[in-house]
Amino acid sequence: MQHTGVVSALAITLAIVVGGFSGGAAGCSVLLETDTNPYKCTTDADCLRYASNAACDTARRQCVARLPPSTPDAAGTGGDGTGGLSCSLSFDNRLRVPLDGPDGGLRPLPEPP
Amino acid sequence: MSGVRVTVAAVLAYALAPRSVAAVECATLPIPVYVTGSTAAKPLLAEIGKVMAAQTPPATVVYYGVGSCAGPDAILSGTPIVNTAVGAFTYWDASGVEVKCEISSTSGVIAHVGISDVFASTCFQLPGGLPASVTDTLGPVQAMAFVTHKSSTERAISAEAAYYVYGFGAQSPVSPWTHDGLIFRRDDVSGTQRMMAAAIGVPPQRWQGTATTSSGDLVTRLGAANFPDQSIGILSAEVAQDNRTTVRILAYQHFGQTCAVYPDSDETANDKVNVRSGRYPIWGPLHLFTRLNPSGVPQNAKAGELIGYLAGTRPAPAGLDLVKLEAQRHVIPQCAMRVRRTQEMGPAMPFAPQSACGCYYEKVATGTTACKPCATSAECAATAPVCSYGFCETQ
Repeated sequence: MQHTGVVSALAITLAIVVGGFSGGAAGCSVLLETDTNPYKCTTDADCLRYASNAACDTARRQCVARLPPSTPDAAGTGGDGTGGLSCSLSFDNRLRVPLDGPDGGLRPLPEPP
Repeated sequence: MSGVRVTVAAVLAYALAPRSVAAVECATLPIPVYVTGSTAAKPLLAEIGKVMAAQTPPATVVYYGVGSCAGPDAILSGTPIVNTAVGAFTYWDASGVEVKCEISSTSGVIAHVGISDVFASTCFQLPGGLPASVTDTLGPVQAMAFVTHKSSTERAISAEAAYYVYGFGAQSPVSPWTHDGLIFRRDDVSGTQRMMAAAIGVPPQRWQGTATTSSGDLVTRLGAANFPDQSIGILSAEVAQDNRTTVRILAYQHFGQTCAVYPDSDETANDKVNVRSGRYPIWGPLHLFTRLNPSGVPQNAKAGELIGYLAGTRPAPAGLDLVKLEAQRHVIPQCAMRVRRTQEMGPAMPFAPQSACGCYYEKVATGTTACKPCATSAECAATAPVCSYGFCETQ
């Protein structure tokens, strides 16, 4: 499947996240990634190891930075475990995209002429 | 590695073309710095070119926009840039006026800076990465988007749907995008198409649909579509937002996701909040390539200076507010980003830039920000303790 390599290829990636997002602490931390996205989460609490203002984007299930920087009186700071990131628009693949490929996914691309 | 394709026909056409007024020879301009590649960089180069032309001594940014993959090619392989059309080379004088110049030598000139919308590895096979003699400095970030006719009732598209639309064309099973003549694409050397290809898993050479010659051409054709709902195209967010009266940006839902998002917080906003946080996935930095000397510094000092301005690693000259300029051009300076990536469509990793400018970016891009204005860090609370660009930032 063509998109498999883009979406879910397992790659051992050594990511070095320097300072900053880890709350401004000096030095660096080394993360051994076993997936293309090491920032998986289900709630904001899962993201606290990255930064105090990190939030869980529950649609993507990934830690992201909350923008603008979180302040007590800022809007959208969450509290519902969603990081204040709601989903107001979606494309319904189940209704509009046929998943009739050989493995129950997308069809392979047609062969070039 | 393929070089920049210059057809015999194009060279002959140029050689035989009538010239009413002889343009100045580029090489005679003060300290010419030759820049080639992506056309997306031109508005920024115009401002920097104006400032560098007013410096003492003056330098001249000579620009030749041909497409993303020509940028790294010019630096990696040293493929000379040559005149393929009258007026192909542009520079800016100290008052900011755009002027044409010529390179009469048939052997062309070697570019000092190559600019690309995409990673070099997206254009070429580079199993060992870039050679040590070439550096790729990351500049402002731009998003790419699927777009449709302004009157379309469609609001979103998923990666799965886009895979079918651009991978199958007229055989697309995804309604309403089933007409090859209304599925607009660029070409396989376009940075926009290459980045989108990486996003949806359709190799750029295998895209179906109707080819367009430029982003402007795509906007024109999309705007003229007789059946708005069935029309679709790809553009940088910059071009799409400049043409909001003609095209509509579709919210994008990546593989396996259930939520579609815009680059901005909504369809009409200009905050790029979903790009800056990594929530909108199709984005990448402008890549600024140049050759290094054995000491690891740019061979051409003025090229290094130009790259430093564009990347924000060198203080902008007086009178040049690059953050504001980039906000107006719908691109994002690195100092306003909260994520970064090291490969095309790779994972978005948390990023905390030094001298953050996210608040100032929001202010100039949208006219408002929730951040606290400040003159010194003493005025900032512990949650955002650093006064940067006039606002309290976390760093």
